[in-house]
Amino acid sequence: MDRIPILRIGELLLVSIQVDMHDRLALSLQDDLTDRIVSTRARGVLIDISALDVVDSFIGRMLANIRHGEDPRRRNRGRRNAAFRGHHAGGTRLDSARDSDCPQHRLRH
Amino acid sequence: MTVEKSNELSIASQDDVVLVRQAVRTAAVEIGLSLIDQTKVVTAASELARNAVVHGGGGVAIVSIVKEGNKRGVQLICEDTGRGIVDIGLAMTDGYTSGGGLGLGLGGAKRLSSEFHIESRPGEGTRVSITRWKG
Repeated sequence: MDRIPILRIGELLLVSIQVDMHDRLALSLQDDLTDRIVSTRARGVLIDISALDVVDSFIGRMLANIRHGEDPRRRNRGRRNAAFRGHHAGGTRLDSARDSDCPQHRLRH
Repeated sequence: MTVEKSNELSIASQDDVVLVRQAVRTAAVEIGLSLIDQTKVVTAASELARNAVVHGGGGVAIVSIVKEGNKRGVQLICEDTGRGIVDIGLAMTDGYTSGGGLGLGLGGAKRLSSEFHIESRPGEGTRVSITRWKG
């Protein structure tokens, strides 16, 4: 898969990452999302990372960049609301791990 | 420490980083690591494999199941023949990055592992070895 779909729901954008992303795919998502936010004037973005195997420092930086609107190639496009829903490992393992090891993270800004 | 089983993967591209993560996950599941420990060692593997590709120009990853006494663990060795690290202390410092990450890669990988060893010679390459023991 070369692209991760970005769905528009009213004034929001929904991104559900269902593949184990390599770095280039993560960067292209960051670019695509930045473009879509501008073109749709979205007021918020929901990114579902529950299917990601891990969030390492690279993916962490990508998510932080999206949240802060700080794509280094496209500065000054303003801040936006972003919420991440997810946990630390594969989707099928969520239920058993949710309470002890992997609390859901929800960041609002 | 004895090696029960070993799998060598070449790491030349970002896609190979994903394959290393998957191989480490498989080994971690096989020895029955808890989900949180699986995630820790897979995250550390992702950092090290990426370093080998981005900074080391590629190399090899050796994913093993190891045993010492009664305990079993997952070991990952990442070796590259890149330019090496001049100042390992600086490279291990949180927030220091010469690439595109958060600068938590090497230090993070160390914290996520039970054992961590790094050797590097400028101009010759870098070898990082991590082990996560069960229990």
